[in-house]
Amino acid sequence: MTSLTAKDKDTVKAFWAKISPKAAAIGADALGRMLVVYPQTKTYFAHWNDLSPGSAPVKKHGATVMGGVGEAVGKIDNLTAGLLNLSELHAFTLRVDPANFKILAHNILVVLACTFPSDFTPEVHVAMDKFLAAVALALSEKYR
Amino acid sequence: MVVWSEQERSIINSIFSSLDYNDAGPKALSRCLIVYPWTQRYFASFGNLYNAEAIKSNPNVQAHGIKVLHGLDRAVKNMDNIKATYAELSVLHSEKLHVDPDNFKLLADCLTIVIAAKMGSAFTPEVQAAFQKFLAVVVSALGKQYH
Repeated sequence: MTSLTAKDKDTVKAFWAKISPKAAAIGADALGRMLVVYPQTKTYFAHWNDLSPGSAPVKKHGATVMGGVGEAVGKIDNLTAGLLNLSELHAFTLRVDPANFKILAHNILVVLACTFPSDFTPEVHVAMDKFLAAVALALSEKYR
Repeated sequence: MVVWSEQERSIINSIFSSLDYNDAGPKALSRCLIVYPWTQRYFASFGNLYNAEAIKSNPNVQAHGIKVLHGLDRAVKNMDNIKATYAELSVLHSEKLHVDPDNFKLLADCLTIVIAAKMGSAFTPEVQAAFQKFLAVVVSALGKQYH
């Protein structure tokens, strides 16, 4: 995949500044959607007592995941180095199949479209799509 | 055989009966050309596609977006046999238009984003699931006649 241009990074940072107050809610919504629309992803959360959208574990974990995305925005100039610890976590402990990063990214984009319909322009969409793909790549670094 | 629940049928019909084709069509196609620029390869004859602004205001893109969106009408009316309904369109996209079928999914994703933006909180996880299932069946049917 292509690397992020200066324009991509500026677009991501500006959009993130706008949406970060709602980051936890966005994460919860995206995660809840993913579990409904892509039921195979539920296999990673068999230990939760409630996987429905809006449930306590989904809300908590959605906030955690978006916290990670926010961290990535701060380290946008070197995602591979910046997300090393998170990559090790996903590779050795969580062992999430990296195909799922794309699925979650799609659901984050859907939530952004729902929540910020006029701000989520095609230009912002392409920058965010590239950014989330770059984050997924950095998270996959330590897998093998 | 694709099985549709009553709820799924109702969701799909509701989305399309309240859809403004003249708005959503151009938005979906132009978003696809901007977010996935390699899809522009099929529209060399459309004129100026040099940047996002040019794409959004290009009248050929707008007209074609409306046409493509209306192409989904037949699937909505024949949900129990989308594969047969689109056999001819699949041959067209393969033999005449030479469209890589992976691109169908890209346009489907952009249409999902456009509908999500329009419906806001009404685009619940259940609605999203039904809509994406519908588009996945359409995408599969359009790719069926490729060889």
